Amino acid sequence: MRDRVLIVDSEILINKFLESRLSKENMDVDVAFDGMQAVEKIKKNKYDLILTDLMLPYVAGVELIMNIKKSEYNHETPVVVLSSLTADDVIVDVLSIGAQDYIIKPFSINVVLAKIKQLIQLNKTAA
Amino acid sequence: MQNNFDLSGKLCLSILKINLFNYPLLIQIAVIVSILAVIAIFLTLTYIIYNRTKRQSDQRKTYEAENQILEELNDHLLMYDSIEEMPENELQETVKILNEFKNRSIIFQNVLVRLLIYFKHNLTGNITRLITATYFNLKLNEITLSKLKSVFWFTKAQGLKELQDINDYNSADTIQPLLVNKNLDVRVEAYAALLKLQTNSSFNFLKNEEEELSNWHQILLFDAITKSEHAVVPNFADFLSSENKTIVILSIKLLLHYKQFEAIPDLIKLLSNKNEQLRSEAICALGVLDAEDAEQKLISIYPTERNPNKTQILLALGEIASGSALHFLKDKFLKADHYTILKSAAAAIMSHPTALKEKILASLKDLDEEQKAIIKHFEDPLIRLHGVR
Repeated sequence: MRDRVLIVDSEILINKFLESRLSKENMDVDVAFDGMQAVEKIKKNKYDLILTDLMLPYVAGVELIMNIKKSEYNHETPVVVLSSLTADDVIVDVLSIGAQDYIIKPFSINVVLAKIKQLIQLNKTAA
Repeated sequence: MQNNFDLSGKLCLSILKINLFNYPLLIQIAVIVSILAVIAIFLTLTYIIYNRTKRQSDQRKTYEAENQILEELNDHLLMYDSIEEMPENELQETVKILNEFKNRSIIFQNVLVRLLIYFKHNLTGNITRLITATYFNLKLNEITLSKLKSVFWFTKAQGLKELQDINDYNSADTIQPLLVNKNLDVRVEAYAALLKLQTNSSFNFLKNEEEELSNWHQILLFDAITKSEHAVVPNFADFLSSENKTIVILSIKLLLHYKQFEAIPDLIKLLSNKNEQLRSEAICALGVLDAEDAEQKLISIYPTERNPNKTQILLALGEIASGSALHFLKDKFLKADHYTILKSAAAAIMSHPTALKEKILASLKDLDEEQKAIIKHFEDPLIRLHGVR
């Protein structure tokens, strides 16, 4: 069964690029362009990993992560944050509310892919 | 029926045959002005409708171009980290398709450049070298360089921005003449471009620029200077005596970024400047640099400043927090006649080390409710001094 990943980013180009690369890695990819769309998707679908930006319209990234951790289907789903915010306190806050990793933009696609695969594998092993 | 047509035709002809010159001069002028006004309105509406239609058409074409080029980039070019990784036939096919895009129209050219630069900025690793190589292989740099020769200042500025974004290090000679362009936006982009593309670029523009830089220009230049590698970073205090106020402000921001503590004496001199904004910037900078030497001068100029600068002085003393201004701060806190002074004095007192501030806090007796609330507010460890600014 293919891994299912949700990408949440308001930048369409980055979304499409990540969608394309992850699809090539045999993953099923859903995309959301704002926090509200993401919340709707996590209520209906179970994902193997969620990759999200922090600066999102309607529902900010931090609030989205908190929603994910309380959701019925995705409370154990690993969350990776992909953001241009570099302040230490932001990174610490995000990791403390349940994100598994924090990648700073601009990013290396190879690093992102490696981390996604590793976290999905770890989550499956733990389950 | 025939008769009706005849009558209306004759009516039109008779209207046309009205001799305007039989009427008074004022009427003649009014009629001519009215006719001209109607023509002008008609032309303006036509121009507006034409522009809107063209803009919508261009947006639609840009959207289509973006989709097509993005699909090609995502499916082929951006799948690899280097040209060597790409299969030969795929590489040739991709270059052929991107060349076709480039030659299709100006819209396609602009979108192709924009997307390549976008991905270069948002990705790291070897893939960025592939993107840059593709940009030069498609000879998109020639298109960018041709923009520098445009008669339109905004096209020149766009070209300069693209040269910076793609790191075209060979374009420095082409940029030089634009340093003295009549248009300030072009000059600023040229300064920024040279700063990014030349490691030994001169900072003489900081001495020579006479026109005031907007905040946006300052941001551009700050970004260009601080994110580029320079052989030698100058002592920005040398530019604090500039007649151009905005150059002084930019120089203060830069010396703070590079933590040039040796600029403190020059900043203290700025406290006597006639310009209030420059004094404000100098006050802030002295606080950030923890300039203990400046404390007495800050206290001495306090009575002559207006409330905004008084607030800045209190906050700066709070940042320096040597302890020697604590009684001054306490006095200002107790006698504050304006909320911002009260808040700033409280923030400044509370930002001192615990041992120092507790003595002062213990001596604060008979505070009113507002004063107590403010002290309590700043006792919260999450409230930081910079949040008050």
